[in-house]
Amino acid sequence: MTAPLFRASGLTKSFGGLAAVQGVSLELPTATIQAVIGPNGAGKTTFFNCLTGIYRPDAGQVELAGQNLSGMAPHQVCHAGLARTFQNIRLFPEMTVLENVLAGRFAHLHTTLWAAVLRTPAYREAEAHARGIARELLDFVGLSRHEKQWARNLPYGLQRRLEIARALATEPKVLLLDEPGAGMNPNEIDTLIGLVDQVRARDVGVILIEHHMKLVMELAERILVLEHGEPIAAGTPAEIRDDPRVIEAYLGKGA
Amino acid sequence: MKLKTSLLLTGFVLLLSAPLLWGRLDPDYSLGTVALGLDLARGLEFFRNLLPAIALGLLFAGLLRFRHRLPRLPRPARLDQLKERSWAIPALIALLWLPGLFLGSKGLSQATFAAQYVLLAVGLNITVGMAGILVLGYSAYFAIGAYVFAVLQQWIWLPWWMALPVGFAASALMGWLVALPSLRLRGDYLAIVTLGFAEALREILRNGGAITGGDKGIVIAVPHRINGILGLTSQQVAWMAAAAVAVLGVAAIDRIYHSRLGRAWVAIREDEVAAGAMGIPTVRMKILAFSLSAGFAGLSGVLYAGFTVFVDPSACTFEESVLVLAMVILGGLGSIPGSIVGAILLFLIPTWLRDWFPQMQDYRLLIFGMILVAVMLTRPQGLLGSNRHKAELEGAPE
Amino acid sequence: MLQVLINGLARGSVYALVALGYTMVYGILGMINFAHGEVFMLGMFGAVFGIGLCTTLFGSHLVLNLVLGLVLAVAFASGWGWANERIAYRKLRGANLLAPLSSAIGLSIVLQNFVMLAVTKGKVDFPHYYSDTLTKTFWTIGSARVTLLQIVMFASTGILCLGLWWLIQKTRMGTALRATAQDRTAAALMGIPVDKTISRTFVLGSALAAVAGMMVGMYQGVLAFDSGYAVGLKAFTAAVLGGIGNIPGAVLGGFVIGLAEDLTSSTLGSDWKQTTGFVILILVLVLRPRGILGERVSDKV
Repeated sequence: MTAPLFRASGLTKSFGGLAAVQGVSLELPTATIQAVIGPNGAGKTTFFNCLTGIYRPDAGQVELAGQNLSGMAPHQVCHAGLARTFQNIRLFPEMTVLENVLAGRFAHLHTTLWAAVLRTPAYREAEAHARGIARELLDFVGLSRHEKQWARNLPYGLQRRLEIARALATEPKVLLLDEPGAGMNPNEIDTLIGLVDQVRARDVGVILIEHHMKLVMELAERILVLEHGEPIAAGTPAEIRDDPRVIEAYLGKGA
Repeated sequence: MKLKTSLLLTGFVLLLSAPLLWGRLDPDYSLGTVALGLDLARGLEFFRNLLPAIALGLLFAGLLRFRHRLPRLPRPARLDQLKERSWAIPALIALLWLPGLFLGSKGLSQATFAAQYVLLAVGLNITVGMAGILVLGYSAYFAIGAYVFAVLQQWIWLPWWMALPVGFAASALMGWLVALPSLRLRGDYLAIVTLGFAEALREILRNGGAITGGDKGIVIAVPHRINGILGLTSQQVAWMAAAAVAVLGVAAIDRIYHSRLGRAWVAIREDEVAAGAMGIPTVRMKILAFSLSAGFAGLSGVLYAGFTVFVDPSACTFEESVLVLAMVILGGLGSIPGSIVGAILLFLIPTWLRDWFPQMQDYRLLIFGMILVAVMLTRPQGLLGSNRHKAELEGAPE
Repeated sequence: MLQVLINGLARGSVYALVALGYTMVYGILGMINFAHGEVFMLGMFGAVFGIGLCTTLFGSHLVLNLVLGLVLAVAFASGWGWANERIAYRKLRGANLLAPLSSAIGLSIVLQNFVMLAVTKGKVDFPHYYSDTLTKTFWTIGSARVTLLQIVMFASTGILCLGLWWLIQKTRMGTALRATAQDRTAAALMGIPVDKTISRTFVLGSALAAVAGMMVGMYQGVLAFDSGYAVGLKAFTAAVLGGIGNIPGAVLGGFVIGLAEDLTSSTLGSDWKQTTGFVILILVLVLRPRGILGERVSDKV
């Protein structure tokens, strides 16, 4: 049996006695889209932070394409093939749109200090190649026109797309999207759905934290529901929609 | 700040400074007491000496305020293309060498020092400006370069041009050693550690006895100095050396800045967590920035030693560190042309002021301090920094 | 050995008083008041000028002039401390690290050089007529000597620290101070006058530094425009050593540094005394930045 593309098992993380994440497991057998939902404070972003090495989990394991990611620093996690976007969009505001995506190419651009100083032909070629990939990604997310703009000047919706492009530049096997649909209007949501679907088509698995139900129901093949850091339900969108525990978690008892 | 508040504050400060300015201590040595007398002359002299500086400052501020009305300078866009040409660097060096034939001894000396400061400022910019790590003890690495050269040349044959890579390596190594344990500290602590290291180094240099020459320092032997060759005076050669090293150094730093390394540093400065998530090894990159900055300082130190032929612990002072830091800040963090401008301005203007108004020699530091505070209060992003930096540096309004 | 202990504690009490200023400002603003050492120096000069003024006005009355001189020194230094915050720091609150620190450094340079230019580049003698009683009266314990001044130093530090503790724990102003230090926004929302509270913190710290300054002036017998720099850095080390923002920590740190310096002086020679402080600084920051008693800083928004 081949190893699944991605597997997180039994992740637990406590802060000063308060269990933010308790025994959470999630598995992507192949490049599919799965979602993690739950009311605010359920531990979803903490879960992501445990996956990407920002927090060290107290218990549990993370495997990506058979490689154990436990204890790795964030940049190593990225090298292994796990990329992410952030809940409150963390772009590099003082760089242009293109430069932001180029920043994501860091690990795959193997130029050395000397080569940079001497500007060897190999260096120039590598840089040109990187720029080509960056431009292709900008085209993929539909931001080609804005290449030379400062990232801070982009409207909100476009900033989200830029963040996705930047994450894709790291050539991930799995992409973690933290509330990509936050603050978007229905048109933007539809565009986003199309975009995430295309990402999966590029053979990149996607795990999605989201509150926007349309986004979740249309994209996810499987949904994990967290409440107070614990998994309370997991299944297909149809199963989850009708699950009484999920309804209770979101709407409270007696709904 | 409202005008009335400013006036009241100014008045209060004048009141506070009155006893020191207008009062004079008259000690009575037999009794061991002291009386306070009035000394108007001293106070008047103080303000009279300060006047040229204040006038110049107001002029400068006015220029800055209304610079939009001034004719625009040619856009530097084409500069990027020019830079790529392979003949650009040699041409620039040759161009800079020309004045060496016309400037007198004093002019050459000033120009040489200015070139050293340019190298220092652009070097410091890597860590403070590009990577966003504040450093308060930069002069230590300058001193290491100078002292390594000075100490070694006593034992082995080491002409100044051979000492250049040695100085770079020694300083870079020391920078690396200091950075290793320190870079995980938060910003202000890191800055103070660098300061502590510089001060400790200075004390070691002063107490080093035979090895470091103590307070008296070390003199560079004649064959190792920057001497005249081929009919050129030693000062002309020193200028040419400094100009060449500075141009090459700045060009190298510029190229590094425009590579994936520079992008990584800016990413780290902008958002360290996001940078890490994108695969940038943040700690390693910060250590690299620090080591490089230190190395370039060492390079400048070797030039300094070869030129002034005398090295003593005054190379390692806090004032020097702050001066270079101010050059970087004034020019704009992360801006290489900014650091060049900042270095030239903050070195040449005080030097010229000292020549034109010799009585102001003692006021140099005072004015410098006032400029530093004024810049922080009004334009923290420096001359060539962007307005977004200004917002970030000033913080949210309370 | 006992002498080392006595001298170290005396020196330490001075560091403790100055360290309190650093720690309080860091606790409430999250910034290093680089110019605090200069306020200490201004306290020294304030004392001498104050005594001079009193001598001119009232003649050589030992106790009167000494007491009035102290009052004037405290007023003088506090005024400067208040003005420093108001002019150089207030606008830069909450800003990125570089701006307030650079402003503080610039201010420190301005103050030092101003005193140098306004008074003198050289050393100023403390009028020993006033300090003689304190420095020349002593008791012997074994092979060691304790001067009256040293006893006064311990005592004043002790009394002032107790007073500070009472102020912070038992008064309304103290509560305001603690609240502002923990969460400035919430404090403002609760109706605490944040600006005034911060100003008062600076004034408090400056007052303590002024007392320390006067005592050091009497202890050393001389002062100069650069007397503040070294003391400032070491007092800052003491504050960090004890845990920045932590008031008892600052006092503890002060005594540790004072003792360490005198210990080094007696074993390695006085040349290396200065280095002790810097070495401790580096070691503390690198090995245990939280300090001995742990730090207490506000959450910078």
